[in-house]
Amino acid sequence: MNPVRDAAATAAYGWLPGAMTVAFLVFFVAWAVWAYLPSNRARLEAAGRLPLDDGDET
Amino acid sequence: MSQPPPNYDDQIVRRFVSVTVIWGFVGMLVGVILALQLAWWPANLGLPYTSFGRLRPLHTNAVIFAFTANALFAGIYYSMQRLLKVRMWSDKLSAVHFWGWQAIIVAAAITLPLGLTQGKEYAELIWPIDLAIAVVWVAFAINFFGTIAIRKVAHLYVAIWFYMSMVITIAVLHIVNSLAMPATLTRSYPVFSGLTDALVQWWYGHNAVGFLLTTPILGLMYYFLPRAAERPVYSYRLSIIHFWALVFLYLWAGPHHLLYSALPDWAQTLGMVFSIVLLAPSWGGMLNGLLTLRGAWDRLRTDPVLKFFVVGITFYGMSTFEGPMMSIRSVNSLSHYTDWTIAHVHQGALGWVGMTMFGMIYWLAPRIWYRPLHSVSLATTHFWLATVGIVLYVVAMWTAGVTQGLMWRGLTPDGLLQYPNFLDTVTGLIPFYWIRVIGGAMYLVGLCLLAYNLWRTATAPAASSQLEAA
Amino acid sequence: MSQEPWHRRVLEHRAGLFAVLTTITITIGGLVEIVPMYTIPTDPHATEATLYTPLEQAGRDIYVREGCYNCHSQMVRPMRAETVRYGAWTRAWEYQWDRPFQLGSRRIGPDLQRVGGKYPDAWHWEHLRAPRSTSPGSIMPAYGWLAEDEIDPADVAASVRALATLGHPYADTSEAGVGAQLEAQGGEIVKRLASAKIAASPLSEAVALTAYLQRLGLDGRAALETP
Repeated sequence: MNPVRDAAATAAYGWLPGAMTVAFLVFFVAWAVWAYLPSNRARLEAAGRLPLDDGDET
Repeated sequence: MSQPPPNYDDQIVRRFVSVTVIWGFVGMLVGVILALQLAWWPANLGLPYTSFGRLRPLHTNAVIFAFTANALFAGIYYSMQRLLKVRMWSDKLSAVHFWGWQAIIVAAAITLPLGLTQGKEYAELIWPIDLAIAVVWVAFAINFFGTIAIRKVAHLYVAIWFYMSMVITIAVLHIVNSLAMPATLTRSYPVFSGLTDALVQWWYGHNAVGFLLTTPILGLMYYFLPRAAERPVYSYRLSIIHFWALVFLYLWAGPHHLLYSALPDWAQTLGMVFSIVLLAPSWGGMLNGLLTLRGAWDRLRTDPVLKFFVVGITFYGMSTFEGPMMSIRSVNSLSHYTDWTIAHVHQGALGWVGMTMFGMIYWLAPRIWYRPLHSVSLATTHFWLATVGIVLYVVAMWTAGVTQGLMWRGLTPDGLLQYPNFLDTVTGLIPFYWIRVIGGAMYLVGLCLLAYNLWRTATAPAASSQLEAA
Repeated sequence: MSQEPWHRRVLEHRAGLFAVLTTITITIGGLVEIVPMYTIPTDPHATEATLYTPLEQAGRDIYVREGCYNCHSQMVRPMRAETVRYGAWTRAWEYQWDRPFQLGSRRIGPDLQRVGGKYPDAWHWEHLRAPRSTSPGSIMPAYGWLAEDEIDPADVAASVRALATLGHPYADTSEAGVGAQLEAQGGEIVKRLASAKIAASPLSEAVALTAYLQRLGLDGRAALETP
């Protein structure tokens, strides 16, 4: 909206959005793949049952 | 309900549940009074202490920091001891947290009507109270992490992740947004000025919504919904993916409160884009909650707890759809500054937060007072009163918001204003304001039924240990 | 795991790492959006934003105290319907002496960014006392106490000193100096009110609030009218 400000902002940070988008996407995909790895399946499903593990007793 | 072994501290849960209901009543009563003031101005009473501008911060602060936060603390203290299979690390710190937080609320209830404020929405409390909040929050955080440290279960269940994100984020937000230079004991000026102050404030304001009214309640949902439905969460793997996505994306969305302001375009665009992307993890959480009930839908007819949860989660889905839509510039140009925003926040506050917390409290009551709930049918009545109340409220405010937004932008073919007198765009809304009073009052009456039901449950003759769970 | 001291468990088990990761994750968005605000070059028109006088600042503090921001915005959006109704759209530099900002989030009443000079002082006096006397059908509360209550020069001087610490270039922050400025500017308003047959004290809160409202949006009018 303000040409002076926006030109300055673009010049200084122009490379950032692209690099960050890629970095965050890689993080996210890696995390999702990890969560759905077959080797993690049993462990995570067991973790999902923690609240039902008769919460009133130690 | 049988008495649990003495390992767990249930007294702190009972205390937080009790004050949740008391402060909830205060906060919502003030809300109904404000609604009345907009429909009928003499309700301002001509006194400084009861005028709209001073009472509205009392309403928002009471609902956010007194009703919701106390309910969160109740649910967190109950669930975290059971998920970690250990009593809270320090009962003393639990007590400091409880009494400190209530003292802060009382201080807020005194100072706000006196006009002592910092003038930033949801961060109005004056600097000495801000300091007290920081101290009490740190006491809570030490107890929280201390309990995690002595846990007897290796895996931290996802609910704990959500709680932890609240403990950390609220501390960061509160400290940064409250940085100020005191002028007197009751007045201070923020270290940020102008638009930077606005950006910091809405970074805070949006994420206070995110990390007090959303993520910790999702955490509670991930514990209490499986307990109430007696089946594990639909997809635990989805829940852990959704956690990181939500926590990361939320913090970027603040500038959607400043669309069309003089804030640089790139910041506005970032806020808009991230708000839209936020829809994905939000709906991931909503679907995960609703699908947890697969196979348990028949119990919905009889169990008010599940009724509250289902409506709460549905409102979460609605408001997290509406929020991203309102962050789109062209929609925002119509909705901003109108009652549409008020409709949106009340879907979240009354629908998602309120209903989910009521469901949790009805489920907790027999388990923390060790006797059956006084009346299930009264709870069901509460459910219907609250649901109809929200619908009246939200529909009235949607209509008022869209009506006013269209009137503001209405131009004649000559490019002149169709409604040049601003007051014409106000007086036309009064009927909707009356509908809001009715909807809000119904919600408040429902809360009174909850209070009565809990009172009767807590004061019923001590139950024998064979009493079955409600 | 219960034999180890608690602090080692916090640091060495995954909970500590988890907390660190959470903190990093939540910090990125805020840093990316807030920090660049400090690197943006100053707008060439920024010098046109004038400091609030002590009386205007006292009036602003009353505006904040009464929660006017709950119903009035201070932000004209760059849209035809807004600029026709209110005036030039708001530039960032206009806010530079605003602590706290008062952009508002809901217009139950109209935007006030350009209200300065729109009405006579006597209109504001009457409107604050009895909103419906000037604006039939208004739902604004009556602010009768503002005409009776007075600002305290010592209190205003404390505010001016705090703002000076934050970089607001006030020349005289002494109580006597601030008091003299209050009396002088308040006296001008009192004179204008007297010509409308209204008797007021120069230190009354309504006078201070009027001083603030009457200067809103006046800075750099020439710069504002050019797109």
